[in-house]
Amino acid sequence: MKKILLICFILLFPLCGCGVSQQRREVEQLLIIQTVGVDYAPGGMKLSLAAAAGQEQAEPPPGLSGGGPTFSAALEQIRDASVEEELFTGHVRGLLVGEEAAEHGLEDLLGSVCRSADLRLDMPLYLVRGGTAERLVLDAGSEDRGISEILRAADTRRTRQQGNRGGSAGTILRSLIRRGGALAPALRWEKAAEDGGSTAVPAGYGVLAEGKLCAWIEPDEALGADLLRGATAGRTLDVLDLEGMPATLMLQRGSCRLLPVWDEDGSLRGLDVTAQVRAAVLETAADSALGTEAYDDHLTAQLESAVSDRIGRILRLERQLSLDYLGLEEGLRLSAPERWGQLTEELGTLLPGLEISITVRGEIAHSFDAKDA
Amino acid sequence: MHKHDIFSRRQLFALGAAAALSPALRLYPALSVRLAGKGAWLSALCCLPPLLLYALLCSRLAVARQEGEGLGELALRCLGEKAGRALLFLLGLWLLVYAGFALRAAADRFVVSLFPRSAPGFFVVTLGLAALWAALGSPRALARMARMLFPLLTGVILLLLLCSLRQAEPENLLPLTGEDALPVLLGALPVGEVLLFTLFAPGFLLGSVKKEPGGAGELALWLCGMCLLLTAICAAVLGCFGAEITERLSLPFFTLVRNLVFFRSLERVEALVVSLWLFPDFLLCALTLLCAGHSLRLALGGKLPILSNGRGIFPLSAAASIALGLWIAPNAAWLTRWSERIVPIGQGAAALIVPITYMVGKGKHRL
Repeated sequence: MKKILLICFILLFPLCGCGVSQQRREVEQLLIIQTVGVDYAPGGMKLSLAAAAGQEQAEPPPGLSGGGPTFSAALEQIRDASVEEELFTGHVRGLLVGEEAAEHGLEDLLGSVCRSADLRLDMPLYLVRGGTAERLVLDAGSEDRGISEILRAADTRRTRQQGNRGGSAGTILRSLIRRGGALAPALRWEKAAEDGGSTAVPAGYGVLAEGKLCAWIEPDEALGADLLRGATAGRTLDVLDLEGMPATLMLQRGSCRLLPVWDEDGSLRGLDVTAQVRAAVLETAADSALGTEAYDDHLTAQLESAVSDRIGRILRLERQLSLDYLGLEEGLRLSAPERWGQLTEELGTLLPGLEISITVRGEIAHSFDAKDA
Repeated sequence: MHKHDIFSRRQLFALGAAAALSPALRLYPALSVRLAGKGAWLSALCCLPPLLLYALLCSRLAVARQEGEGLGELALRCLGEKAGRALLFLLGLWLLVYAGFALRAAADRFVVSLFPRSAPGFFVVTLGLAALWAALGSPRALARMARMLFPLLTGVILLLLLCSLRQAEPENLLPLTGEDALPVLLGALPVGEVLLFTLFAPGFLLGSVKKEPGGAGELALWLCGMCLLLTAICAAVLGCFGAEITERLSLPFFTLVRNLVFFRSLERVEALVVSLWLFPDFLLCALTLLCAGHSLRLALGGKLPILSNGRGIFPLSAAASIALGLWIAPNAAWLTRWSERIVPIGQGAAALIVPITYMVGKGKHRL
């Protein structure tokens, strides 16, 4: 019996890929691709690939881009044209999508990611505002860092501010299927101040409707979207103090509660949005009135006004687009599931006709400014 | 029965449970989510009461058997020569088809997740030959192997589930309302298909198991454990991807593994996990081949004595299964059709052998 089992194992062994195989790949032979840029090309798409910097063979050749009717075809075209022994796409950590490509629709691309045996669904996806992904992928960075390092830093910042909420290819695809719309974080190309190279800086969010880019949310307004999605930690907010001097607040905590307002006939009349934010004074230019009750009250009012303004702008965009891209309906359903079940239309369709009231309760916790001590 | 061929009941349960892990991860999350949506993670638990009833019938048959008798011999005794042989012949033929399907499904997982440029034929033939070698040997070796592997496989699953917790989002699992009840019950059908087979198929090997009291409770515990394990798997997959994406994935559990990062340093371990799943595939194929060969041997009454003690049926069965494995699903669409339409019906019908044997046996006072 032992012999039989031994033969079974020997027969099964090659299936594990552990045997001598022509498919074996040595790490030294691989160019490990970490960033993929996708741009629109007539009749298909154009891909640009970047490896990590700081390794042997780090900088990808400038011509590491190619096109094809589909994602796979474009990748194959790059492989064929490349002088590298093997392009390894199993460790892609960021996907950049150019503005034009996003305007033409992301669903096919996200479908490819979903079906791919290589790409990960939790890979961060960024839209490139005002340009092509190719420019960022091939040009951004300097001698010792490339787009892959820049993206990793951007992703760390974003995760710190928003936790696990949104931003990956998987969550964007899920939101598109579930709600018909989604928010995708955006970056734009900028000259780097540090080393004369170029970099990618946050550029708010892109709003996707039915898979296509239909609007931008400015970086300044992004706070409103994050608050409505329940993630705000670490964001800063610039306001004017009692003397009209600039002051910077850092949001420490924020939450938003939405309640439906019902008419007597059971129809939805409006939404009641209540936000609670707590911030600390990070820096202020004035020192004469610091610590006084009037000064704190003024900063609190400024905080409340700024937050209310940003939430209002995001909700106005939802109304304009008639699209619940933030997924507010899912939270609202919980407050009155039975009544909500009787509604024949989705929140996005109802939004333009709803009365929306926004209440913000702000609190200034303490100051980090030495003048305030 | 030779003394060295006897194995324990626990080893038999482990064989059924380990073999179930192969179809469970192929069928359960994706198909259940397609049927039940967000509530699919509760489907395995909903399946538990009817499965416990079925398990009760299995254990009553096990109690009523005589030393050396398995489910096949019991069916012959209860149903009589003609009806019993006819039923076993049909069951044997179906199990050959199922073995072919299991080989093809295992090969597909390798092609989809590890070797995208390969054809499934090589995997079908290799795994089929390995299953044949196991079927030609003593079932005891297979059962002991399952007993050793099952804790390892469940340990790996639990570790993976633990690591996936960080990515899970509760809003992908909750809230559930009354409207979800019916879909959740529908989603239990694939779970039923998987677990029914693992309840009745090991019954064919009962002849090699020593008769001991108290089997029903132990079987119920194994069943509850399996349902909980499947619930946890589905909850993890759904929590991470949501129903919308899960239903689009062909192998959601292995996609989940691909997305995991262990302690911020180790990732892309899906090749190891897929390779590990070779063992449930092997156990499932070998078990199915054993059952098919045993059924056909009983049905044909020793009319195929090509090799000593009637074992000639196994190479023939394996050849048929491998041929079927190569033929039944020329592409993924056909495999899905088999997986979602033909196999559930066949497995449901095959599982009827237990209630039919029990009821006829009781009715004719042959138990």
